[in-house]
Amino acid sequence: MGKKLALTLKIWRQESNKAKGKFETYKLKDIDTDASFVEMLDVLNEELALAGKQPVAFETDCREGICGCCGAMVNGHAHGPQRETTLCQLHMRLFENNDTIIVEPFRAKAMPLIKDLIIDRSSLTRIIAKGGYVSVRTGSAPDANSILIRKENAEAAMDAAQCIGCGACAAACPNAAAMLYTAAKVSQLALLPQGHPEREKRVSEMLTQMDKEGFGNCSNSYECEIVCPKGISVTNIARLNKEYLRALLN
Amino acid sequence: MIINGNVPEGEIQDKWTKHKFNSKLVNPANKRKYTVIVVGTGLAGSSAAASLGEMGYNVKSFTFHDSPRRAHSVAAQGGINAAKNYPNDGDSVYRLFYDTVKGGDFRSREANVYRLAEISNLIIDQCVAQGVPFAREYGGLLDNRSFGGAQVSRTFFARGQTGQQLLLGAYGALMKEVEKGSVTMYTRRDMVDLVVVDGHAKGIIVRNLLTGELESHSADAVILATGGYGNTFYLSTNAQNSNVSAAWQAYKKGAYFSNPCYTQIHPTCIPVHGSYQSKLTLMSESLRNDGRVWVPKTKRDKRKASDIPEEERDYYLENKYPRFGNLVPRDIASRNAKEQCDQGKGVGETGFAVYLDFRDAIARQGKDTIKEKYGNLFDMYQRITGENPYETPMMIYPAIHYAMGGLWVDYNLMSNLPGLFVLGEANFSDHGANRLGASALMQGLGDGYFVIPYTIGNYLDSEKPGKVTINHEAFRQATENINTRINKLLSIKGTRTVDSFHKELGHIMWEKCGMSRNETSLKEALQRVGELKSEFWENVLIPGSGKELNQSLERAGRVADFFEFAQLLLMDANQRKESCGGHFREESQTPEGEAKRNDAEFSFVSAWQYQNGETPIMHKEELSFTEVKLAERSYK
Amino acid sequence: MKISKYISSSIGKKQIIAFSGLVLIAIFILPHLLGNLQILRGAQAFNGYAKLLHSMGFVLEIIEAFFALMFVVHIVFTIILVTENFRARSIRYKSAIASEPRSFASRMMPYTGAIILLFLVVHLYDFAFAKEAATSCVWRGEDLGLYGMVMNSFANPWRLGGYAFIMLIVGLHLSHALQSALQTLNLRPGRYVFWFNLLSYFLGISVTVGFVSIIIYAVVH
Repeated sequence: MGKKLALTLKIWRQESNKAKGKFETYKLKDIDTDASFVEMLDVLNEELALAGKQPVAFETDCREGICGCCGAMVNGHAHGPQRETTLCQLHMRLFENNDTIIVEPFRAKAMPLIKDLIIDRSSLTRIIAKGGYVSVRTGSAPDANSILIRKENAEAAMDAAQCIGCGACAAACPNAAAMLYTAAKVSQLALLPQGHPEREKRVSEMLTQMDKEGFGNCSNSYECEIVCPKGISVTNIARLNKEYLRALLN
Repeated sequence: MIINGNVPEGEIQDKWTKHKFNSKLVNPANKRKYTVIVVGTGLAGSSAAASLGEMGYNVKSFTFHDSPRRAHSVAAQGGINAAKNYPNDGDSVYRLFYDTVKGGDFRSREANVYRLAEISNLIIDQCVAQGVPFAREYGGLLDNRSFGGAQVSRTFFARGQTGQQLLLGAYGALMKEVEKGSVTMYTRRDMVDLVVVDGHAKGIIVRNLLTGELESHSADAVILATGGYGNTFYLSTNAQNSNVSAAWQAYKKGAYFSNPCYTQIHPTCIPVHGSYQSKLTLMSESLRNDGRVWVPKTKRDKRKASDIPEEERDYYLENKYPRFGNLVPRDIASRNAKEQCDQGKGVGETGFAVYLDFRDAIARQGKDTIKEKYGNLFDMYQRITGENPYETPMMIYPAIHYAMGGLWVDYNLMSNLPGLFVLGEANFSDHGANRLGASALMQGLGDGYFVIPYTIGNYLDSEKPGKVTINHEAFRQATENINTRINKLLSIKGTRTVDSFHKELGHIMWEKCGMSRNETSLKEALQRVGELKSEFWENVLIPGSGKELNQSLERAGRVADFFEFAQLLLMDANQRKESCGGHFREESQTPEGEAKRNDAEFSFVSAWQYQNGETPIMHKEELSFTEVKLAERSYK
Repeated sequence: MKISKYISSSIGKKQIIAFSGLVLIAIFILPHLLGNLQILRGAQAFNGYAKLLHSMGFVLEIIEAFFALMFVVHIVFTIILVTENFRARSIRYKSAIASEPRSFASRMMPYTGAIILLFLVVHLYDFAFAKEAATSCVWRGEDLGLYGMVMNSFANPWRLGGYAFIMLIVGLHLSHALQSALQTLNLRPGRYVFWFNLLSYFLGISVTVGFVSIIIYAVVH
């Protein structure tokens, strides 16, 4: 059994996108240090419901750090202060007794708030729709081993492909840019020969969509790399930049 | 009643080829006129929607997530099987087929499994072409590993994130079709009912999770790819929102539910540690390739693992199953862990855990090699437990992981309701009583990419497109029923939260119908679930209204279905008076205390038919084995 | 891709800023620093350098026009980009957001840039004035031309302090600028990121130190 914590939570509450939001303060007792952050929120919600109040709306699903549903700013850090960790994998043993924890939704113009900590990330999906794939029809693929790929490239592609689409990069970016997100997919497919036939079209259209959604521009402050729960490197942004320039020149 | 799986005639090797040839083709010009609904966007749903969209059908795809990419297929870690035989170690389609039937404890339909093995290679080709970054060797070729009790290396993997990478591949394919306009994507929609007209599935009712509005969608065929029901047990490796509701509504509209008592219990999960706990996290079983499972020889030994000398450790799997050692199939590994813990040899705070030790592997291969293989899993373990598995052994315990049971389907993957197709984990078809590791991804993608595109034509060809629209009385009726149910739930205004009911339900199920069960425990469970269900409908507390984003209400609907489903699961478990797969039926064991199957009486698939709240009727699909010799599964 | 699409895109604009920035570093800042450092070698050397510049006449004007163009491009695109970024961040956090210390220079870019721009205007004014006065400027009773002017101006402590502050700002700007531009143009291969970052800091520090050393020289003399 872990230790027990008493905590003060300040959580952003907002009925809807139109409504005005504010921080509400809640006191919690006996939070087990082995609990995850979202389990702590579960405990809070049980208490709120029993007290006849509205539970805090927040998204969570797999609770093993891979689906990308969860996410919030915890004391100013996207997904909390632990590196390479999603909110659901953040555990309460990182906090001290009597800590005050401020929880605010991810914010960016292109990811508007829906309710409390839930935001609308459909903009990220629309970026993928513009070419974050290889156009291969079912059944038309050659034998898997007919495509040889250098191990280093496969590994680098895998590094980029790990993106879970949580939006933390854009949330933490001073310019609310989804550059690391876009770069991860462009990079993965630029590193693999399968992605080459469409590479110019892909980078050009995905970036246009990113701009259109109202995400900002990258100013290389690299906050995204720090908060990315999968540790995706900004090297991928450089590769995106190169791909974009390449699309202009080819 | 005996039901028939519509398995085509002929030699097992030729069945699928002949069936494809004999299947009806829908005229390319007509495909556009047919609307197909696909519910769920996991591996099966995304791949089906994408493939059908490519073929020219008008597809509507539904997910309760904000994006298709979040489906729980994303969490599969270990890998995907295929009979490529790239490592040249004697694998073949036939061997994959044979292993899967045997691993399923002879409770699956041979022809379906053979087809799965046959198309497994196509899946790998497809995924590689999509840019899925599978592990590679230095020569640039694909790497394989041995996984979950297989004696050949046939598992393809992308680090510990194979499910994620395959799902992102399928998601890409889906988004490509969305962009093209052949698939319309409906996100944040929860399927709350299936609409059946003249016995045919012709549409669904969904609840818009943002507004609470009920929406009607009509189609010429409905495909459910809505995953498994593991969350009936509350604590499982499933995602928080995984549920049985879509399948359950289909059942209540007449679709048969098969083998609900078959749930897989995965041996390598992080043990339970507190009452606030919401989830059991799976550690890929690839860990068993290098980790050694042990418990102290002395009961209730409270020493630290490192203080227990070698001779006082019981490597029980290696001792009991010298041929397979730590790599025995999941059911055997799970059952043995339970047995050790029940004897009082379990470790950790609760005594419900066994060690998975990497000490020897690290000494032999070096920390770097182990890190390269399992680094992300070790990191995950440390994040969750706060312990460093490079220094102290991991603690693991079995947990509910996968549902082998599901809606009954025939060889075409169509349920007994014409027009209703069921893919992936949501159907019962390919894994029998126990699924082998790395087979779920194979089945999900196989069903979606390579089966449904061929078989759906057999149904659609006989149907006039657009026969039913949402103006049909059935849609109005279904909407009204759902509204009544939602209002009923909201009006209870009781004193217990939805989660507290769910937890209690899960606890009953795990205790009485988990790894081991007997008639008394099952009957007791049936009674307690019944009582709890009644209390739920009188005393559940749901804050908020039905006309907004209301997560408590979403959960309440799902838990209400879990209650009903749990009763069916218990009934099915009760009728199956044999031990098979992961389930140890205490009345059916060998003198040595091993699980004993009863082929004479139970070589069938149960298929339950809803009776409007009365005791459901069980039909049987008899299983015949022409290829695989029924044998006692021995891994000793 | 059409060039118009490129220019209006986020990456396109950034690359234009990066490119113009790199050009300014290479052909403006560094030669300028080297030229100014001549002051350390005494009046004669420095005035010689000034004379050399003036003797270039027409060529110098072309170079100056090119500088001006690069500056204008750099500034105009930055203004557009900063406005867009401001808009993308129009929904601001209500609680304090933790930011990485290493991103300080990056976050300050628009501000350091604006200060540098202001300085540039003043400096250009001085420079234009200097053109006329350069032939004669008396310092400590000696006509030492441009050298004298520089020495004179640093006799004013305000000016001296202001100049030193600006040079710090320029250093801060450049310490981010180089690696940022290399990243934007993908001239900073993954493996060498650390070294390029180091180089960028080195550039920032050397420019500050270089220019400030002139002040110190002036004070000492």
